[in-house]
Amino acid sequence: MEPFYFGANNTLFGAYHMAEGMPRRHAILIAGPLLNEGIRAHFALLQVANRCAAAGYDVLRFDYTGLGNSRGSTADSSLEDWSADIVVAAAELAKISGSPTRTLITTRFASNLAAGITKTTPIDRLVMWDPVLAGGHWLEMLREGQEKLPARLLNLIEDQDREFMGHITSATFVAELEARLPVSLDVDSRSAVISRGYRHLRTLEAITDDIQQVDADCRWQANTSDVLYPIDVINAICTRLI
Amino acid sequence: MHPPDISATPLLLGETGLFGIRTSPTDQASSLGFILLNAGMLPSVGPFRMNVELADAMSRLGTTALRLDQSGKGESPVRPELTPADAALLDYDEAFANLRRCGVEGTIIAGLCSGAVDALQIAAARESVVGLVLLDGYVEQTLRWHLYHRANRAALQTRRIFRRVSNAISMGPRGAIEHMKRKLEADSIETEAPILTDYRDWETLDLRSSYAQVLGRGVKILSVFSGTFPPYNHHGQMARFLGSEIDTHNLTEVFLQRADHTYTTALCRQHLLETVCGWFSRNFPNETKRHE
Repeated sequence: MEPFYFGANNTLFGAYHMAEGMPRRHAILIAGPLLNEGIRAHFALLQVANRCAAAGYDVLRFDYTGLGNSRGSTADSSLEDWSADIVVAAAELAKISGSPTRTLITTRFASNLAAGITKTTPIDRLVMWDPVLAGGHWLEMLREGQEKLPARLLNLIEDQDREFMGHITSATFVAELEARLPVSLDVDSRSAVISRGYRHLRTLEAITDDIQQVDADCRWQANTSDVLYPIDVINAICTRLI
Repeated sequence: MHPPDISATPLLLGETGLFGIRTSPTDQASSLGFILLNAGMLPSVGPFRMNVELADAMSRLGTTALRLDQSGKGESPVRPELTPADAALLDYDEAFANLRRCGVEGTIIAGLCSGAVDALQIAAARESVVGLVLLDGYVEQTLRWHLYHRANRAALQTRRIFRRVSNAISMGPRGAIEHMKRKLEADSIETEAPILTDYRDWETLDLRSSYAQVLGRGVKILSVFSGTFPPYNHHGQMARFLGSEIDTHNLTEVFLQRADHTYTTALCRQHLLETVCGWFSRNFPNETKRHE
């Protein structure tokens, strides 16, 4: 794995996994989840990247502006910024690997954010893990997670319309989310791997009939900082790609 | 955007490729390095990105900070041939070697929970460590802890009984008897829930001796406890646990009672940052950059 900063002013953090053995002819971009979901899913997506690289794919994981190891602040970032980060990351991966980015793995709300990528990058395969396709759906989940916080912590949140999962978001975050409708990427192959307790199945069925249900408990909104390591989900994603 | 007075550099250290992000002031840095260890199995960004905020704040004060993914955590590969304790020491040596090339001569190590225990053990073994920031670190339950604990439980029981009596009055005599029967049955199978320390092997380590050793060497310790760390329940417990035979004048003990173990909210983390930066400025005044 090669860590580096890229993008305008070198503000985005990337972790590049170079293909092992005989390289395939295209690369895989992993667009992880946002806010604290990204920290929880880090280990699982690292395993996916390692396995895809071992199978001969160049892989890039990256952190969105203001999240993970990237610079900036969530308070100054919009959904448009994060959507643009995916496009920039795809271009960067094509540049460093010398192969076009043809496969995209999205997780949670990244499945909505990735909509703009097909305007610049011809994606052939899209794999979605527990996708959240509408902004309103994710906002609902964020608020439910917030409500589960103990009262003593709720009292320590200065603005409950801006702070979600320990991160202060921009002043327009809620309005931006509400305006985000379900999207469908224009790609040849769309599939989804969903874990136990997945909601909004009907919305997902409207964009793909290739849905695999895995008996794994992925509690994205849990108020814990432990890592998420659903091995059956990782196996399902890798089986589809390798 | 990232504060322009700070630069961030990703690192792969040593033969195994130990991962870290080094954050430095763009102008003159002090001779002190600030190393942040993993909290449990979380990557080096820490819970709710707390380590990033701490590293940035400490770099703004003039130190070169290094958020480290210890072996087997975050982006760093495991060192299967070493015990976790030996791996932690080798991780530190590689991190310190990198910081030395930036002019660092001594380090402050910070860690939350298991990271605090690692930090203490590294400090006991490496003389280059001059400061420790221990967040919910190792502490033992003292006599006073038990008194507070029992008082808290008694208050809880009183509230519970009061609630049951109120419920019984509203249910009427027959409903109340049925309700009490069910409650008694439920209470009879209630057991003490396991707490954080039940999952640790701390008792096998002589950590009190480690405290004595590093304090005796003049290492400055900031020990911060949150309000949801079961082994700790009152200010002053740390000093009492160490006892009068250990010189604690270099120990600063802070109880952030409103904060939770992982500093979930932005305000909790803000209080923590102010606590850590304030302690650093007071204890290492010659190393602290003045900010306008």
